[in-house]
Amino acid sequence: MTIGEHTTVSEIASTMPSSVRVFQRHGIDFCCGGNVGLADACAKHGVDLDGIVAAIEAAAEGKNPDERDWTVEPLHRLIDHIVGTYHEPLREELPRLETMAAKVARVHGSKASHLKRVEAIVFELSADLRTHMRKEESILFPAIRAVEDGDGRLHVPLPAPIMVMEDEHEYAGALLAELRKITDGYTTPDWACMTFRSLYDGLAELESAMHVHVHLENNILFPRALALSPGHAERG
Amino acid sequence: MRWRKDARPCIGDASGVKPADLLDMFVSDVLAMRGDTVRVFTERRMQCVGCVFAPFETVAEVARVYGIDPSQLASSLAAATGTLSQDTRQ
Repeated sequence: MTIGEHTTVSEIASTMPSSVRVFQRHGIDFCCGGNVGLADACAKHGVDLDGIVAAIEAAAEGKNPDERDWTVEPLHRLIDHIVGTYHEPLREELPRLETMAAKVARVHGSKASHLKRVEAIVFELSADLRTHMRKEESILFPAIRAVEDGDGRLHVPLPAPIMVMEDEHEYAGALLAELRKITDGYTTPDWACMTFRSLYDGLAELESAMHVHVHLENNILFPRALALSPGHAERG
Repeated sequence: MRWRKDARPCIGDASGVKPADLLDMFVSDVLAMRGDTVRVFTERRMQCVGCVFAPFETVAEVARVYGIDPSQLASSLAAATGTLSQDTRQ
């Protein structure tokens, strides 16, 4: 694709998956807030437009052959990829983060008061995400597979459930943004213990994986599923 | 989006239910209540009727999804539960 100043960040991230790393490096939101022109996103983050276009093109040339083009792969493969690469690791990671957040807040909370809030956010995010993934895996994803397979027996209208999932993504995104803010970009103090450091490393990784995960759902899976489902033009 | 432990079960006859109680109720339970609660959702162009997530989302949560003031939605629902004197469900 040709990248212009008005090409949106989410379009670029969808068609050129390697661009995601470039956006992450500059803190540019390519998932929930990705529906903005590249020039506007660059202006907001004080990034040079020509420089970022060059970086995106360079990243695309060195493309990993394993990176599939999810805009054309069958939806059931994209769903399997999302569940296997993001949902399953999250189910292991969230309890680990909860344990560390609770311990760090208990031991260091009096010295660094924001750790209590970090703990509360981690617990809220963890509960929300586990319920959210369950709803996707047991209800929405099977419904999308049925639409793709043309299985009328399982037909359910997709627009409303997708709106709910997008809203939950946005809420999780807001919690992650708050975490980044109150932890000063996951910067640990000099005196931080190993658990404290591991917690911040784990949270930074969670944030980065969540951005790609939500991008795959909001910008690729959901629009493609809606385009396949009957009456998709009615979506307000 | 929380699977609330404290969410109230379907209570059928909901006359006198307070708006604040409705906020934490699941949408499918509110739709099943006596009174024309369905219309409250449809006239706001909310697609809750027939949505597969209606049993899992509370009134407060769907208000957020549609960008609607939760207390106004809850007040309208509470008013609707008193709008019909007889249960019209078959």
